[in-house]
Amino acid sequence: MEKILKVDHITQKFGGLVALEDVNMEVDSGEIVGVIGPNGAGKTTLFNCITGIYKPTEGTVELAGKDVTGWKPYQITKQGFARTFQNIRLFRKMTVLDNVIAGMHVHTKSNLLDSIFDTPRKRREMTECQENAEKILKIFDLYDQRYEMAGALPYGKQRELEIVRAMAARPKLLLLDEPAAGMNEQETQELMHRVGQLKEMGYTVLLIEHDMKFVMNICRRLYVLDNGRLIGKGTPQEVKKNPVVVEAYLGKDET
Amino acid sequence: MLEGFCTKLQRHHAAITGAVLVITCLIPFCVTSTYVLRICVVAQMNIILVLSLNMMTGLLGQMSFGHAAFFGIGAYTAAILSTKLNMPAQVTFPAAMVVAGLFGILLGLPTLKLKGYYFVIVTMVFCEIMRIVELNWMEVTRGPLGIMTIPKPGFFGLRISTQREFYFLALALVILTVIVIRNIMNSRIGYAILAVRDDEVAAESMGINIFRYKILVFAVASCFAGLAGALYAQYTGYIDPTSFTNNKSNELLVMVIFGGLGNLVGSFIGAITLSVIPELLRGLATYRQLIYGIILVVLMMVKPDGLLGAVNFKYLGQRDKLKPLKDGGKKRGAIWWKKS
Ligand SMILES: Nc1ncnc2c1ncn2[C@@H]1O[C@H](COP(=O)(O)OP(=O)(O)OP(=O)(O)O)[C@@H](O)[C@H]1O
Ligand SMILES: [Mg+2]
Repeated sequence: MEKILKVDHITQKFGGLVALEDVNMEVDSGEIVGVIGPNGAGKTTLFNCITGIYKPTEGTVELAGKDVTGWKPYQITKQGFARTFQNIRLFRKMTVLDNVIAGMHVHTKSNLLDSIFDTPRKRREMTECQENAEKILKIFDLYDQRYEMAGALPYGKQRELEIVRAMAARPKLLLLDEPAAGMNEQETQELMHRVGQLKEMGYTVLLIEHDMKFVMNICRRLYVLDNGRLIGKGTPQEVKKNPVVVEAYLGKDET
Repeated sequence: MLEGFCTKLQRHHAAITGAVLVITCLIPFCVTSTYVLRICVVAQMNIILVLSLNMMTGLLGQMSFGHAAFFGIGAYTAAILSTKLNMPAQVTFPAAMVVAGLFGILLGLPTLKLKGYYFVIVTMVFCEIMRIVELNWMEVTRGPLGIMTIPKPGFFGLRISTQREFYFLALALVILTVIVIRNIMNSRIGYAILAVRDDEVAAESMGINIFRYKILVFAVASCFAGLAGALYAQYTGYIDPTSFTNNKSNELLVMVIFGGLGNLVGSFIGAITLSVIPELLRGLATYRQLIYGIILVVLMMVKPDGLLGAVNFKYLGQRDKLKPLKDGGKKRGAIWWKKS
């Protein structure tokens, strides 16, 4: 198995606050791995360190064997990470379709001159983008809304669109930050089905989730964060039985 | 209502564009008044300025209060090259674009990384600095005296001197501006620009180098401001620093907002309306500014986004094309055919 992600002894401090302390994790190609933990545990901070929004105080992040620590977010995306956000961040005044096309930025090449002179190469590229975007939108049942403004979609659809946009970058690793947050039971079910589809399509996924049922069903392995520290890892069954985890998180959450 | 109307416009946009173009070409043959034609040329020059400023503020989402500075840089470049070095217009016009564009890049590099309002203030200050430089660098700009007797432009020996010739030169430059901006916006670069406007964090996470696109748009917008400057200098034959002050920057920004941020058709309407209204009101002398002000205030109250700020013609067209399917195959445009 190829290692897609290797997080090595990451520490992230904000002034006096230690948001992450000595965190290690690995994701292999084709896996769906979950990160769980109570509020403020540092899950989003971990994503931000991986995707370059924060520069970790210590430690390294490797993507498919390449050290990307300290790179800019856009460089890291070019290298093969793509993410969604806990508080949805769509291009709200662009249509659903255009959001996805914008998401293909790292795979398109035409330069300023191609654009100004509207060269065949640029036109071909744009047609291809459109066709591919429509293809993924069909998979996610967003095709009928393709000309609607992203900001006008219902909440659950917005979350899905954000995933589709990230998929459009064809990343080696897809990072989803609480994709089911704020969704109702039925929407969550649907989403679970879709994330399962992602796996079949060959995507590798690292996801943060609060909904225990969600991660238990879908993830092969879990990492548990609490107070910035990794307090447990393993298969969902192992994690469930781990007394430290139960005390820190599951115990409180499931009663 | 506006949306319905704009959908209809979009549906027949090819025909409408063609008709407008024909009428525009006929005007200088029907109108002989030098005064009216002069207003037309100035309006067209403003269109170039407003389109480019709209690219910056409306499409990229980066407010700039200093657009007139680049207008001035272009004007002085063309004026100096043509008076001191006798350069022909095929040199002075591109040179004005390049110099203005370079100044855009030089100003952008250190400042476009700044968040929030810093950049806005920097542009304002830059405009003032340029004015002071123009005012004091006597050897080059002749300071408050301005540069006089700037030769009329000649492209490869083709002299532009009558009002009518200037009218068509300006028209050609407007068309050039529209095509370049439109083609950029229809490419991956355009998608990236809109993404940056909507959400910088998300854009960067999608692999878009925000800084690079900001610099690029700033450079392109400055280029076209410079082009308008070259036209201005060689059209009026006289420039001095008073034409390139913050006042002019603000006037341009008002035109952009009047027409609607991010809407290129709006920029045409804004530039034309606000270039013509002051002239129409000229007879009212002292009340002129007041009425102009009232018109603006009323518009902002009725339509805070500007006339077409909430309209996206591309999207209206796309949605319109979907409708026939929903109507059970009834073809759009059928009514249009029957009527004609
Ligand atoms: N930019 C920042 N500056 C200062 N402190 C921060 C910053 N980002 C996060 N923190 C702090 O780091 C800690 C971890 O936050 P984080 O958002 O990673 O938690 P989380 O596990 O994602 O929580 P939630 O489940 O609520 O999303 C919190 O105490 C938070 O206040
Ligand atoms: Mg979080």
